[in-house]
Parts: sequence; C-alpha cells; structure tokens
Amino acid sequence: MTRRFTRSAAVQRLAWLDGLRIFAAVMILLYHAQLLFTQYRYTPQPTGLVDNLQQLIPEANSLTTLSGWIHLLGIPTLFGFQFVDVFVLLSGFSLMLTTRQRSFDWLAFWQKRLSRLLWPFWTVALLSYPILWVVGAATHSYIPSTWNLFAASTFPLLFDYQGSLLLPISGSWWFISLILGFTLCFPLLHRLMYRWGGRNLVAMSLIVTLGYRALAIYGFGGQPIYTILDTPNGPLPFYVLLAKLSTFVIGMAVARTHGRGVFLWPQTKALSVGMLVYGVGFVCQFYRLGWVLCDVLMPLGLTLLCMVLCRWLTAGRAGHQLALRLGRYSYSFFLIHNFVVDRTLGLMVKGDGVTYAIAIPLMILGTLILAAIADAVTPLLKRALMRLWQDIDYLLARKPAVATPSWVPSVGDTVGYLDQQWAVQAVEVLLDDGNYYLCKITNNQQTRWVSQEQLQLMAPRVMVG
Amino acid sequence: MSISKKCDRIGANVRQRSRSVTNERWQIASKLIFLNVLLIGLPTIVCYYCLKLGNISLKWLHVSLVVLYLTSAAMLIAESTSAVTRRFASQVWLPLSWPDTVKHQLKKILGMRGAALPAQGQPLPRCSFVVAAYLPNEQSIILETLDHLLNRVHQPEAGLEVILAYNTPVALPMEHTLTRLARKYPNFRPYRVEGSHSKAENINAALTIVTGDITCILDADHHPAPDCFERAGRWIAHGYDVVQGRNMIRNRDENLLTRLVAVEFESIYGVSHSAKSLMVDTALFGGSNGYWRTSVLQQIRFNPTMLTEDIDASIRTLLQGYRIVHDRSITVTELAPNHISAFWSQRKRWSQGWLEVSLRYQKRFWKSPQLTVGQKLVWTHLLYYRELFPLLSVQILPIVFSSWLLTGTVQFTDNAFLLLATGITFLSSLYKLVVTAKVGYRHYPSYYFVQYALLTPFYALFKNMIAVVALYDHLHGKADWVVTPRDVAPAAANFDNVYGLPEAARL
Repeated sequence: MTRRFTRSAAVQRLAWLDGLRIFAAVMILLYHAQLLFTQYRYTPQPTGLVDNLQQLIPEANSLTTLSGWIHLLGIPTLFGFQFVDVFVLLSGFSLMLTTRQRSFDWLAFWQKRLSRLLWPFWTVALLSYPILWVVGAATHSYIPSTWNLFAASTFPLLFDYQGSLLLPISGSWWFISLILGFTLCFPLLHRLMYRWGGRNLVAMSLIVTLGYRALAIYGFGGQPIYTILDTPNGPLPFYVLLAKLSTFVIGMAVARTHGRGVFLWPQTKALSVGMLVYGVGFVCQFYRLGWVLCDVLMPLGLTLLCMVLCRWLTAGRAGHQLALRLGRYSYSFFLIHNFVVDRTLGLMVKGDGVTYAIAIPLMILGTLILAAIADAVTPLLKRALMRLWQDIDYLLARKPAVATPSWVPSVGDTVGYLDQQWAVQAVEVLLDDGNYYLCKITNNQQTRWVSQEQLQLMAPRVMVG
Repeated sequence: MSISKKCDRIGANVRQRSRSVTNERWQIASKLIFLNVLLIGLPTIVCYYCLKLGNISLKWLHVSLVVLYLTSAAMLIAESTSAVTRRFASQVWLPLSWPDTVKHQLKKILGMRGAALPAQGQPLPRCSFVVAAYLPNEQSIILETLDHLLNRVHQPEAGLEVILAYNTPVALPMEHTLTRLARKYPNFRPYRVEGSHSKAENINAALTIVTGDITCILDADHHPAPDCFERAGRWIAHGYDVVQGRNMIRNRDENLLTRLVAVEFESIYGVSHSAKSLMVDTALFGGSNGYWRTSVLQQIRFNPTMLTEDIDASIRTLLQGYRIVHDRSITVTELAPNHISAFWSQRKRWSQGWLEVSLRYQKRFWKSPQLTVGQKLVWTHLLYYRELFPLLSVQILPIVFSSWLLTGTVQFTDNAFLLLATGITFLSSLYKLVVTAKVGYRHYPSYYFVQYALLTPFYALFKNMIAVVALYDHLHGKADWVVTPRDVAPAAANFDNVYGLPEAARL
C-alpha cells in the first residue's frame, strides 16, 4: 500500500516546455560564464549594429590562440541574458496553462505558487551558505555576510524590488523579486484576461510596457539590465515589473489558446516568424530608441524558435524523457548557477582558456547535480519547518484545539481528495481526543484510507426512503 | 499458448523483477550516499575549516555531543539497574531461604523491591485471541500457530476463542483447511476480511465479532506461553487496561542475523520496556502479545494509515488515560527476519512508523494531563530523542575526521571530556548487555551475548543507516508498507526448546 499519489493527466508536463526551461537556464549560465571569463569585454551598447558587430567579432590574428576561438564561439552566449525574458514569458504561459478555467481560488493559487517559488529559494539560500563559507575560508576569497544570508533565508521579509540584499549572495537573484511580483499580480491579470479578452489585455499591456520603457529610458535615466553604461539611475528602472509586463501577458494569452493558434503553425512558419521577430528585436537592442521595443520582441521570437527546436528534440522517446527529467530542475539550476560559475572561474579557471573550455561542461553538470540535491532537500526542509511550527503552535496555544469534525462521514458520501472525486467505501471511528474518523475511499482505480480531515464533502450520501 | 511463449513470458517477468530489485538497491545506495554526504561529509568540511582558521571553536559541538552521550548513558544505566533489581512477578508467597529474606528486606529498604505479581482475585473471564495474517505470505506457518493456540494454551473456564482475521487477494486452498479446522474446533473462527490490505483492517474487522472480555493480539508466527491469560488477567483485574508481554525469537539458531535480533529483542522486551514500566509505570503495545481489555480496544481500534499502528494505538490509549503495563514473564515466541532484505524492510517500516507517531504525538505527550512528569520524560526519550539520536550521534565522525585531515592523526587527548563521555556511553551499553544476559541467560547461550557485544558497533551502524533512510523517505512523503517476507520452514525444534522450560521460571 502506498500513500504517494500521482496526479492525473490534467497537470501533465509538456516535454518541450521543460526542455525549453532547462535550455534557457543553461544559456543563462553560459552567459554569466562568458561574461566573467571575458571580464565584461562586451555588453550590447546603443552605438548601432555595425559598431557592436565590430566589437563582437575578434580580430583575425587572435584566432591563432584558444582564447580567440573561445571569444568567437562564445559570441552567442553573450546574448544569453535574453533567456531571462524567455523565463518571464514561460512563467505567464505556465501559470495560465494551469489555471485556464474562468474562476479560480486566488488565495490557494498564491499559497501554492509562493510555496513553489520560495521553498526552493530558502533551501538554496540555507544550504549554500555553509558551502560558500567553506569555499571562501579555504581560498581566502569572498564570503557573503550573515546579514545577506538572513535576508535570503527570510525573503521576502526584507523585500525590495531590485533584490539588493540578495545580490551579494548571487548576482542573478534580482529575478526572484520580479517573478514574485508577477505572481502577486497574476490573479488580477487572470481576471482581466477573461473580462477584457486576450487581445485587449495584450494591447493594454503593450501600451503600458512600451510607455513605461520609454519613460524609463528618457525620463528616469535608466538602461536595460544587461547593458553597462553610466546612466543616472543605471538598470534600476528596468527591474520594475512594468518593464516586462507585456512579455508576461503575451505568455498568458498564448497559453489560453493552447492547442490552437501558434501551436498549430507549421514549423517553417513558426521558424520564419520567430526569426523575423527575433531579428528585429536583436537589431533594436543596439539603439537607444530600440531599447523601448527590443525586450518585447526578442523573447517572443526566441521562444518561438526554441519551441520549434525543443519540440523537434523531444519528439523521440529519449528526448521526451530527458526533457521531463531535466526540466524539473530548471528553477534550482537557475538559483545555483551563479555560485558555481563565480567560484569556478575565480578559483579554478583564473583566465586560462583551456581550463575554461574544460570547465564549461563540468559547470553545467555540477550545477545540475547541486540542483537535484537542492530539490531533494526542499521537501525535507519544508516538512521539518512546518512540523516545528505546528508543534510550537500546539504547545503555546492556551487551549489546544481538539479537532471537531465539520461533518461526520458515512458510507456513500462523495468527497474531494487531491483534486479528484472519490466515494467513501467504509468508515472507521477511532478514539483520539474524541472521535477520529478514517474513511476508506475509492475512485474506481484505487482504494485508500484517509483521515476525514483531508477530505472535502462534495455530496452527502442520498438517503433513500 | 505455446511452451516457448510461456517461457519467454516467465523470463521477461524474472528480468523485470531483477531490474526492479536492482533499481531499488540503487535507490537505497544513492540515498545513503546523499545522506552521508549531508550528515557527515559537509559537517566534516565545515569542522575542518573551523579548525584550520583557528578562530572558530568546536567546543559547542563537543559539549552538545557530551550532553547527548551522557543522557543516553544515564537512561541505559537507569533502565538496566531497574530491570535487574526489580521485577513484577516475584512470587512472595513462596517460602524464602534466609539469604533471600535478607536480600528482599534490603531491597525493600532501598525501594528496589518492585511490585509483586497481583494475586488472582476472581476467575478469568472469557478470553479471545485475534491472529492477524496476510495468508499468501504466511500460509506456511499459520497452522502451526493455530495448533499451538488451540491445543497448548490454557483455556479459561469462561472459554477461549481464536479468531484468525486474514486477508488474501486470491482464494487459497488453505482456506478449505481452515474451514475443516473450524468444524473440529468450535472455538476457532477463520474470518476473511474482504477488501483489507493491512493488519489494522484485519484486527478492526475482528473486533466486531470478538466475544472475549480480554483480547490478545497476535501475528501469524507468534506462539504465546500457555499461561499467558492467567498472568495478563491479574493485571487487568487490578485496573490496567493493556498488558504487554515479552517477545522472544524462535528461529534464533538460524543464522547470525537471527541471533543478533534475539539478543536485541531480549534487551528491548526483557530490559528496556520492562524497566519503563517499573520506573514510571508506562509501557507500550508492541503489535503482538498484548492483552487488551476488549471494551478499551473496541474504542481505540487501529489506524490503517499508520505504518506502526500498534504504537499509534498505544499512544492513543495512554493519552486517553488508560494504563499499560509491561510484564516480561508473559512470553511469546516469534520469527525474526532471516535475511538482510527482510530485515531492512521491517526495520525501515518500524523506523518510519516511529517517526510518524513521534511527529504526530510528541507535543500531545508534553501537554497531556493524564501523564506524570516521569512518564513525559520517558516518552520524550522514546520519541523525539530517539529520532534525533541517529542524526546527532554521528556528528562525532566529523570531529574525528576533521582532526585527522588537519593533523594526520586523531588527537583524543584534545577531546578528553568527549572521550570520557564516549567511554561512559560504551560502558553503559556493555552494562545493559550484561543485564540482558542476566535476564535472558536461561534462553540463550552465553556466546550469543559475546557475539552481540562484538558486533554491536556494526549492527548499530546498520540500524542507524536504516533510521536515516526512513527519515529521508518520510520527509519525502514516501510511506510504502512493505510486507516482511516469510522465508521459513516451521521451526518446531526451537518451539519445543522454548516451551520445555518450566512456566513459572520464565521471568
């Protein structure tokens, strides 16, 4: 008899989506690695396409060295930051996909989604600290302060929209504040999606996003996060949720059409549209005016291209399984990758091209292993802390609550359990501070004993006569 | 279907089973590696750098371990002393020699004499055995057990019934034999519990038909002593609601593992549980050889969602204010797992089940008005302390390893007080083993105890690993109920050896 329960096909994972997630996370790792290895030699500048291409392409004589080749081959990874916006789009897409019904319990949604985001984050924060401390102590290198650890392990207690207290632990953790912001806004956007319709919401979000981005560039003196320039407010205005709102909303709108629309496009059409949109967005990023538009267009095109690629890669059984297996680690992979990249490049590679070439696959593999460990520890930590809280609450409560059942189960009742409908087959009454009811429930596929507290009464037994 | 196709199918099944076993072993190995890295590897590295940097002291870790070890040692010494100096079943009505009289007087002055076995005040009421069985697994042993219960156990004047509450996914030829047996013995009732998947469901179903005032719960391999109801009945007549007896291993001669389990059971049932009853008047129902006031059992019942439904029932019984006593003179023999995989699944279920009840009930013990302070302390030791011990006690390894990594040697002189605490703990374990030998020397040859003493470090380490894996699985929500496989032939020879002893001497 097993009590572990696998959910129904209603929440089946999409292999191409999982594949795309882990691919995006790996690209972000490669971006940070390349940026650190090349010591920020290149970031996109608003100096025009030609100037940027000249900066990007190494001189012909440098190709006689390994470093030159690494620079050349690493050019695509220098644009890996674009996958952060892909994550935003996928976030909107995934959330909408799982809540496609018109009305939904937004409190339950927040509870589930925040739990999904914060528990792995807290686990990584708590687990990483002793490791970072040891690495720092062993190599006399940087050790994050306990204040930053406190901020991370109690996040969002010390919430700020740019995650400034998190950055000393991991430079990429600014994204957590952003994604948390989208989670909080999602119920409103979901409501508007049905009230206004997908097109109207997308149009409105585009107006808001483009208007805000224009204001951020020309009014607030800001610059996109991936650009290193000396503007008055730097990247701060672009950390704000409004700068990426339309990307998230477009993801939601696409999910609402899941199974039709863009999903039914032939590959050639998806590829050509994707390349066109991405191409325009790519060029836009080299112009100040283009900054208004580039982060809206690039994730759209890139996601379209990656969707075609990932669908093709996951068409086979092996690819399908691999994508599903690896995709589940994408969030923890993202949370951990910067530690691995930073320490590997600082302590091991030290600017050596050959070591860097060897370190790249090792960094990806190492991050993946650490992500798997973190994901294994997360439920342990969650249960342990939840249990501790329940015990403290029980001990300190002036009158420990004796659970009085809200309803008395009887054979034939229809009940809800784990989002499914079950029928009560037998009832057992045990003595435990009053009556404690256990129900034997069945859904015609399996039978199990469950405490009455875990069930919701959907329909009482109909009394005949 | 042709023979070749059948062979192919059988071959495929065998391969699939083999793959599944390999997969399961790999999962266990990976969990062990992961947990050892987490519990020993990572702390070793942290301790190493603490020592290397020189500005972070490990004193706090040393002191914590000393407190932990000394607490364990104190409990072992208290239990062992209590178990060896006190007993319930002292037969004070027998004429005593003068040295014994002096000894008893001295013990009385020291407050160590213990309670006497209550005298039989009234005739024994009607009694019932409820034997829970999963028949496909236990059909090879059940007839021997029934034969023992129906023919060897003393029958009270008010009558004795034997209910076999069993479940089976398919009809078995054995069921016809049971029907024939029921015709021969009118007090025997075979009861197939439809839809049941657990021992708890079987017993709960049997409780609806049981007619005795005292009900004894047994497993399919358990053979109680013939005078079990006479002994248990006296406690129940004196206000106790549950009497737990002592479980002994019948197949102890089979191999090294069964010998180790035999001594371990003697240590648990003969010393620890017995001492808890003597010290603070608390005990637990261990799943079998428990004699319940039927009216109480019918209220408490068993929870089929718990991995150790017996401990869950014990705790609910105590929390309701009912009383449980442990009397080691009421013996039962049972079969120990005779191979490692069966041992692993049994102990992992026990570990996980104990963890489950610890997390569920510990706080309620602390707040219960039904229990004394001593009882609360003992139950804290049995629940949270026992769960944390495997995790915390291994932290001595990071101390040793980090010291070795730093200096190339282990400087025990630097940790004198830790070394002393470890020594005291070791000696207290040895003391408990000596007491166990004293209590159980009539049943087991002395080399069993020597063997146990020598192998204890490895045996304890193995059980520690099981406990840690159980913790991991529990926190991951994995709670598979794996039936302990019975890979046995009926052990009639051992059975005769045990029951050949004089009944009154088995204390």
